[in-house]
Amino acid sequence: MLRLIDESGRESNSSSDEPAGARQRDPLHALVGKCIRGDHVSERTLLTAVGPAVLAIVRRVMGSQSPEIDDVCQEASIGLLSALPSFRAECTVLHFACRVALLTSLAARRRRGNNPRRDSNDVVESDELVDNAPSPAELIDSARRRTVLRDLLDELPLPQAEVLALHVALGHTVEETSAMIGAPVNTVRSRLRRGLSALRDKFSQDRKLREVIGGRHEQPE
Amino acid sequence: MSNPNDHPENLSVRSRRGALRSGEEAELERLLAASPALRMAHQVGKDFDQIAAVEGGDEQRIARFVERTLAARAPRHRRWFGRLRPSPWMAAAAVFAVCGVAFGLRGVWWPQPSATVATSNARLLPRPANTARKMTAPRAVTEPNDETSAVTTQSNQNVAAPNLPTPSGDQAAPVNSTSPIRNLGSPSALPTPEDVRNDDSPRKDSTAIFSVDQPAESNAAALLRQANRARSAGEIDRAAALLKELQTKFGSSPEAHVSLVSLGKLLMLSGSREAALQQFTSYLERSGPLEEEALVGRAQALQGLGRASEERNTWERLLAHFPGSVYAAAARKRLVALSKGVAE
Repeated sequence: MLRLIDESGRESNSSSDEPAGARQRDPLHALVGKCIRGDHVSERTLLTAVGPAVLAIVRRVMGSQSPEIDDVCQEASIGLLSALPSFRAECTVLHFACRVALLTSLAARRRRGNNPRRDSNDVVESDELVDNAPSPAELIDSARRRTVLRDLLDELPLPQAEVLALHVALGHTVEETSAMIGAPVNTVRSRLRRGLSALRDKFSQDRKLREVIGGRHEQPE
Repeated sequence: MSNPNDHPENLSVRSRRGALRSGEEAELERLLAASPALRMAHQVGKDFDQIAAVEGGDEQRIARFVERTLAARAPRHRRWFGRLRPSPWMAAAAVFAVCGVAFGLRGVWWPQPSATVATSNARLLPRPANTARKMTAPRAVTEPNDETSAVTTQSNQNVAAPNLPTPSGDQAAPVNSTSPIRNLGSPSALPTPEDVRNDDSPRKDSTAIFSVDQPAESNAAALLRQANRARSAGEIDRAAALLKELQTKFGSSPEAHVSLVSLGKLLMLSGSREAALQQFTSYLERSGPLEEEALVGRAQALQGLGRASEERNTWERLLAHFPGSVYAAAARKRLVALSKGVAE
């Protein structure tokens, strides 16, 4: 997707108060100025370029079978375009879009409230790219652990939930998380530590999940 | 740990990405054994990694929500109307419009001589059927139904307006005559480089929508849309049959090129890896917007066929051409597995 971007627009849309390094490294940055001015084609190109990442994040946070995925993706896309004027190029546009998608998904989950059936379909998640397919029992255990984390994301304070989701659910390093949310690395680690502590409490309340923190990180069954 | 300043949490992340450096694997094992919190985070992270980053039909899904987003934001772009400053041309146009309306109402409000009563009343009488058809048929053409658009465009001279088809309920997003939305729900809805470079303006699109002379292309597009809908409905065999028909009848069309990837994915689902490989390989013979997906499909087909060397080349080609791809992590993971397999 990134190959669709017009190279010539790169300099013309960069404002002087943004970090030059971020502009040079980020091929999507050329589109930001045009999108802010309401250029329809640039908006389409940007949304299409970040679309796979947005969809992947929404799918992970909401659950891959959630009926709300399309709506949340649309909401995240609108949120991204609306938030572009506040984009300071301290991270890449893709990371910015990922953060918007994550916050939108978390907000959607909290809005939805406690619905015991909401993740019931999550057990049957497709697994196209993973090499050695896990057994049905392992899939159920995995789904249970994902559900526990998602429930915790609804309960934690938003800054902790955001860091926990970025690191654990989406697989970003501490430094990447720090760049995405614009907070110091030590702050990220501190939030992550508190979030993991809360997750550990959740796990210790469940007999099957307790085995994970009890010294057996491989599947027991 | 190779970098003493690195955070232990990052080792877990790099392990999930399949990007651990030499010696880090043992270090990670040691840390996991020592820290329950890290062990738990690592396990839950791997659980989330089981959710496929990409699924079949994602390209249509992305195209759909992008179009819905742009349609939802459309009113923002019309704000410039409010900032228009009055000009002599606008004043003249306003006067012209007022005069036109007044002239039109003249027959209703003004007492008419008997000779003209018949003429003015004739305006209020129902129009002859032919006139009605001319006035209303284009409206139906601007809102085509997937299956019936071809029929409508060819026969709109002979069908009475009230019987013309209306948009079906499963239309993916609202479409109107000025919208640039076309072919929603099909991979061809994704913008191609040509679309982007040629400034895909609403005027150009509306002209295309009003056009009624698109025999082969519209049939190819209709077949592709039908196939996509069948695939979404889980009718894999029907979708595959439609895509094969598309490739047979309209082999040189852009839709047929796109369908190579779609059919390849369907064949993978049904376990026909060799046939799927042919589809993906055919697609890659020409450049196209689905090259990334075709490379992934080809690599997966080769994996299923046990052709490790070609599979490795395909994953490497994917990483070289699309280093920021959403498939990159899976590609790296698979390359690591392949290298281990070779070592063993």
